[in-house]
Order: sequence, then C-alpha cells, then structure tokens
Amino acid sequence: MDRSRSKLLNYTVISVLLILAGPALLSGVGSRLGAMFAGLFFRDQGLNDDSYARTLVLELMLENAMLREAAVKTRLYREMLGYVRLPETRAVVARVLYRTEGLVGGGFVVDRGERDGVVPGSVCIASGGLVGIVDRVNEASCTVLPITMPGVLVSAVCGESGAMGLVSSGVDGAMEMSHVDLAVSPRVGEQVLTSRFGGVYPDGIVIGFVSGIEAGAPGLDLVLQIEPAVDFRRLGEVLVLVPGDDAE
Amino acid sequence: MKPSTTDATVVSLAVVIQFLMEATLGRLLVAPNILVPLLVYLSMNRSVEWGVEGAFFVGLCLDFLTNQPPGATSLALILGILAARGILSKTTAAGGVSFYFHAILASVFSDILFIIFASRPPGVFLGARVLLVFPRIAVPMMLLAVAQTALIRFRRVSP
Repeated sequence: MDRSRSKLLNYTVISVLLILAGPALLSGVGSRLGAMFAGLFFRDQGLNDDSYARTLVLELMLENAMLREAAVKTRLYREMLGYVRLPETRAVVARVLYRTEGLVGGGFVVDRGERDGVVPGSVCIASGGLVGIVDRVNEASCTVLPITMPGVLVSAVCGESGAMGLVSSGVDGAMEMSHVDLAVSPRVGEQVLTSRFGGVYPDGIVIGFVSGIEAGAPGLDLVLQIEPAVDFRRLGEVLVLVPGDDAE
Repeated sequence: MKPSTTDATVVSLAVVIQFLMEATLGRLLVAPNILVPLLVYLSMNRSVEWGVEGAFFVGLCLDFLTNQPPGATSLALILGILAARGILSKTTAAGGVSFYFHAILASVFSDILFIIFASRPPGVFLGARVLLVFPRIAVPMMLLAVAQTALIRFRRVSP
C-alpha cells in the first residue's frame, strides 16, 4: 500500500472515529470555540445600547402573551381552574449563531449558556412567537430544539375556539396539531397558543395559526394544519426564559 | 505534506470566510461553497494530499467552529473529493474543464455526505431539500468562470 493510500485510509478512519465518539467528547470544545470565534467578528449584543430596548420589547411581548392566555383560560375554564402564576423568570437576549445538523429540523446554537443562567428545558421565544426549548447547555452557548424538529411536542390551545391538542412537526417540516376534540369548532386563521398543561411551556405564547383542518382518526379527532408564527429560516435574535433569582 | 505558506494562508482565510458566511446566513448548507473548489484546485495543481490531509483539517476546523459533529465535514470532504475524482477519471480525460466538473461534483457529493453524517439519526434529512446543495456550488463556479473569462480577455486586449 503506497503512502497516499495509507494516509487516505488513516484520515478516513480518524474521521469515522471522531464522528462516533466526537460529539460526546468534544462537543463542548466546538461550541466554545465557535462562540469565541464568532465574538471576534460580531459585536456583543449584551453591551449594545439597543439591547436594553430590545429586552424591554420582548419582555412586554411575553407579558402580553401571558395576559392573552390568561383571558382565554378565564373565559373557558373560570369554574374549573384559577389563573396560576408562572414561576419567576427573567429573559436573556441571545443571538442565533448557527443551525446544527441538517437542513430542516436541526437545532439552533445561540450565544448564551450556563454563565447566563440558561438551563436545559429553558423556553426560547422570538418576536413572532415560540421558537423551541433548550436541550444542551455549554458554558457560553446552548442548543435550542425548534418546535419544527420532529419529535418535539408542544401542548397547545386555540385562542378563540379553545380547541386543545398536541403540536408536532413531520420530517418535511409541516406542523400539525393532533388529538383535537371533535366537539370544538376550530377555525382557519385563529391563533394557536401554548398551554401550560404540558408542564413545559408557559401559557399563551403564540405557536402559529391554523391553516387547515382535516379529520384525524375516523370519528375520533381532528388534525389542524399549523402555519408557524416564527420564520425559522431567518431567525436572528431570540429570548431565552431562564429561572429568575427568586424562582423556586 | 508540506504546504507552502501562501497555500496554507489562503486555505485558512477560506475557512474563516466560509464560517462567517455560514454564521451570517444562520443555516448550514446555504452559503456559497468556496472551500471545496479551493481544495480541489490545490489537490490538482499543488499536491494531491490537499484532498486528503488538507480536507481533514479544514473539515475539522469547520466542524468545531460551526458546532457540528467533529469529523462529519472532514469525512464528507475527503470522500466527496475522492468520489468526484474517481468518477471523472473513469468517464472523461478532459483536462481543461475537469476542474469545474471536479469541483461541482465534489461539492455536491460532500454536501450530501455531510447531511448523512451530521443528521441524527443519520440521513433523516435527505429529501427534496437536498436540491439546495446545487445552487450552493453553482453560484461560486459561475462567478469564477466569468472572472476567468474576463481575465483572459483582458490579457488578450492589453499589450
């Protein structure tokens, strides 16, 4: 075997070994390097004067979403449920650095991590609505699994009709809300909001809009086609909701 | 392989530019691909090991910077360039146009292999969206062809 073939074989084997073992051993190194390197070229938004205004806008958006959901719940379930306060949270503005792993359902790497208080399970939103949930947290960055990723489920409620169900996405990126009760009458165009019944997301964050209604299992439920409120292809800045200092 | 300082500097700059384009556009496999044509050019005109050793280290740097599974880009680049070279050596003996064909084929193969290696589970995102990898290489190659033609004409015109 000549030397060039030997090199080809060696580097191919090393690459395969890195693919197999690298994510477990070196993923933190990668995210750290990426965040440090990106910091050389992009301004730190945390030091930008505009970031304060952006934070206020996004916090108001969050407050608005919570109030909207509270109104819906109050009207529909006043007799059954009281309005339950969310745990104290604070918002951290983050910049999307890159998409990971694939074209459609990959996660987002954002430039906030453990040192900013981000923990696995933190909710990520954008000005349009819900983005996803934090999956992996490193010191200076974290990976957000978007709701368009297959396998990410969101407990949801329609803003006007009160139809409840589970929002999920297929491999092709199409989002749908399944297990919707036949007794309710959802309408095309109405808002779909997060529901606290899943125990993961706060109430009332906009997920998207109903774009179509289909019959699910015959005689059992409805399936709603959802148009996401967030343009995941042009996501620049997001807000990560992290536990507040006085949160339990 | 002992690369010249100039070649290594150019490749390093290309890695930085590629990373910045990927980070600015916010999505992988959308930014124009400039690394593969550069590696193909160097492997054809400098040393064939640019397509192996160079591809490995370039891919590894890009994997770390873009937070991809380490080794995914390396393996995709090595196998993509190798496959393109193998196919072209079997099907054509053309020298003048082989760089363009080689670069386009290598880029397409590398991107498809990258999708397979980097997806979890592997290959889950293969589908119609793979067509996006074609404009990713077509644009820089067209620009290169236009620039090359203009340069040749300029040289003919100038005394």
